[in-house]
Amino acid sequence: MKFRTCLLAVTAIVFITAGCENEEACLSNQHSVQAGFFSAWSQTDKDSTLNEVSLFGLEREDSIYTRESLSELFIPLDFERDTVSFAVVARTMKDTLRIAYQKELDFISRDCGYIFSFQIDTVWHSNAFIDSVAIEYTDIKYGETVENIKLYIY
Amino acid sequence: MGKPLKILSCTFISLFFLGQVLDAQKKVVTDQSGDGSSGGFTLGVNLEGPIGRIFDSDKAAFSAVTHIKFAQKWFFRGEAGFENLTFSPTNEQERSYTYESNGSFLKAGVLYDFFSVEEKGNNDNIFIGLNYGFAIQEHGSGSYTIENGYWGDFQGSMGEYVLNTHWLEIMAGPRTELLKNLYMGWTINMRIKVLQDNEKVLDPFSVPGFGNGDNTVNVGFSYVIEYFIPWRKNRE
Repeated sequence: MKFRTCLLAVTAIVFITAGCENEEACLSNQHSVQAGFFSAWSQTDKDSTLNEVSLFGLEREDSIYTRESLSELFIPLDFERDTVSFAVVARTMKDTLRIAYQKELDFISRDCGYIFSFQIDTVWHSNAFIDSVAIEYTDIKYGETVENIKLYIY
Repeated sequence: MGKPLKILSCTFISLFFLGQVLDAQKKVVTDQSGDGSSGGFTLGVNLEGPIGRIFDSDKAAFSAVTHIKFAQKWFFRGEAGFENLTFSPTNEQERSYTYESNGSFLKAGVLYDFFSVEEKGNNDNIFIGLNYGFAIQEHGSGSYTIENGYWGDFQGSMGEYVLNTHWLEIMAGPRTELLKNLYMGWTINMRIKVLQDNEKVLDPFSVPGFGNGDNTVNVGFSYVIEYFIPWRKNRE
């Protein structure tokens, strides 16, 4: 009994320590505003797809999307500032989208570390092909995939 | 370690403990011929920390344990120890932050021995008990990075600060007298966090004596070797 207890206890320690702890899978790109395109002509919200859409930061040369057919955009926020401005281009038309937000440091878990959570304050836009913007859900939090804003287009 | 192997490991552990409990119950039924009571206390070490270091070299932990019998079937159990943790460069790279923690813990509670044996000189026990645990630790992140593929990564730091954690611990397991007055025992422990006064966002990677800082409930394992110091002679 004693020998067996001893032997099995040591074995159990080895297996418990090494075996029962799973590492968590971490999500990336959790700092983007999720925006959907909707028709401005429809009485009810109707998804719309725009062709040849490009998106880039106003002070940037590299784009997030380049001439793609899209029904939604993921617009990344800047950790160092509280406002970002983007150019949204659809074929030959170009609009400016400016988003003001607040950020807060969060700690996800010991495996995934730190992130920022955001709260959208205001969205401004020009009117080349964007009719209006509605903020549906102000929070941008880790693990959530909720549409934040609706872009109503002509 | 691959996922199938982890599942196999956990299955093995479950079967092992089930087997141990059944084995102990069998002994209770078949071996009822002794009395192992005597007054005194034990002083020993919990090998959970030193053995854990084999698998996680970032962590250094040690604790001392005592058992004091205060009634026919009842024991006081006390434990005190420390745990220091600093991320290795590999760990920092995987998790995008550095982490340091130094802390100490205390546990105190009661154990009930439900091992019934009348064999003379048999001082074996099968314990089940409840402990209260308290840990104080200073921890922080010297640096952390939050990745942003478009606008650029954010670099920050979280200075060290002190936090306290309180938990309850349910434990069960056998203890046997290997040699005269030298005991070896193990317990499986379920630790339930009840309070943590953390004033900042950083959660502790590991709470001394409690384990994984992300979890509200941890299951742990203690392996104790201890020496019995009598304070009165056995009645022969």
